[in-house]
Amino acid sequence: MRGILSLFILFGFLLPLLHAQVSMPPWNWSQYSGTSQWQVTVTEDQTACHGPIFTNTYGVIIQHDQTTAVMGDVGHGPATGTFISGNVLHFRSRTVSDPPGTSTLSDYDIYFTTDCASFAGEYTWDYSGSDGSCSGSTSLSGTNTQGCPAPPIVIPPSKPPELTPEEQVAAARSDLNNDFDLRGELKYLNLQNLLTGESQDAQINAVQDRIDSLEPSIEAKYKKVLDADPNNFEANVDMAELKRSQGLTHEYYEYMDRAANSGAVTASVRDAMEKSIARELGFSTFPKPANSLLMRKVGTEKGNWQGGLYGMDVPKESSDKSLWDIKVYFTVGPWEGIVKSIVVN
Amino acid sequence: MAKTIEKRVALMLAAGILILFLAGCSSPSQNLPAGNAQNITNAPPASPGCGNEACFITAANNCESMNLTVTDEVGTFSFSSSKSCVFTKTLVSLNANETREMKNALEGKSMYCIYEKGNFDQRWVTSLIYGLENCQGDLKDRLADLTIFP
Repeated sequence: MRGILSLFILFGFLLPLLHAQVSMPPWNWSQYSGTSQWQVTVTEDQTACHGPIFTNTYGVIIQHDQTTAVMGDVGHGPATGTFISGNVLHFRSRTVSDPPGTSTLSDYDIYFTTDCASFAGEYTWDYSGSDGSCSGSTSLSGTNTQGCPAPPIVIPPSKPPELTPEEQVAAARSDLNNDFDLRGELKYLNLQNLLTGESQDAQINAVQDRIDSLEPSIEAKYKKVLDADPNNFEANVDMAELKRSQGLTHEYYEYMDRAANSGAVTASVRDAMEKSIARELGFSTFPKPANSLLMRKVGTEKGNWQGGLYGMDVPKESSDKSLWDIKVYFTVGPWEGIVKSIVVN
Repeated sequence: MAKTIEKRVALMLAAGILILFLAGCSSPSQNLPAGNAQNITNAPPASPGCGNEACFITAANNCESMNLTVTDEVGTFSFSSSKSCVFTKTLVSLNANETREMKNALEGKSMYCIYEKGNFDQRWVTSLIYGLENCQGDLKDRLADLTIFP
């Protein structure tokens, strides 16, 4: 009873466990490139030729190139075969030198086991020579103690290093500059159309076509930056200006507002902006309402914002005056001035 | 970037010169003493002139060729409109009490604004910064820069 129980345990539990530990996935020789080494037992039956049945063992290398393979000499010279399935190697009939005559070998198949441990095959041959003719057969039995070859290590192609957000913006801005040049040309051509009455339509259409083909790729580049960081100041400013140039005022305002609210324009940044602009205008000191009627009027108008911006009602934010000043400047200021005068840490 | 700006400035400069030539410039009026209330000058117009802002705004809205020079507490501005619906504004001179730096930065600068008939933005005449986003030119850029200062 104890013996039966032991057998039950062995077959019910241990064998499956052992099987799971030693079983390998089936090998497919037709997908392999490389070499395999075999000990091949060759049994040749020459009895029909008045000879013996003799057996030889050869150390043989097979060179695999996926669906083809070259088997080393097992008595009738090396031969090239083609895998007709994952583990069946087919050799076509061939005639080999077999002094003093020749032997014509039949087609034959070599069957490999899926654990790479062995193969077997058999063919017939017809000898013909000065000493007569006869037929015989040869069987092949190969063993491989090294197991299946290790799977090749696949090295994924190296990807170019990802650009930093700053580099991505710089690349997009280069295209954006080209786009603004084209839009400047377009405005000038439209103006000439208006003022001189001479048709510039052909040139206008050509420039518009170039704009239409360039802008989708520009937007895709900025979108990639903003997908990773929606508050990226420079990307938002650039997109705001692009949308403004496209006449998409609502989108312009959304990007501009996000840039202003990004926190990038700190007090020190704003200070740097003012100094940069003052220097550009040739001011030794900042102009102030206290000593300039023009500045007083500008300040009054900022404070009495009428809400119009490209026909939209843009609410004036009363809580943060400095942020409001920035937004007004973003509304009317040249974008080159905004970006180059800001040093964002 | 510098090359891009230069090219754009060159284009805009050429456009500005073309507009000033075809739209007609008004001759600068004399500077009035500081502190005066708004005063309309009646410089002899090269083309038909308007006596006041309301008249000019109406004409501009109809894309008529018109000129007007206005002096207020800030300074003297000249306005012109053209049949091509192009509005031009020039800051002829600032109030005498403005600093030399402000005068150097702004006097003689112009901007132009293109619009559609019936859609003239009268704020271009009645204000300094409202509607600037639809205009181009040195005066627009300089006034826009000034909005950054508190």
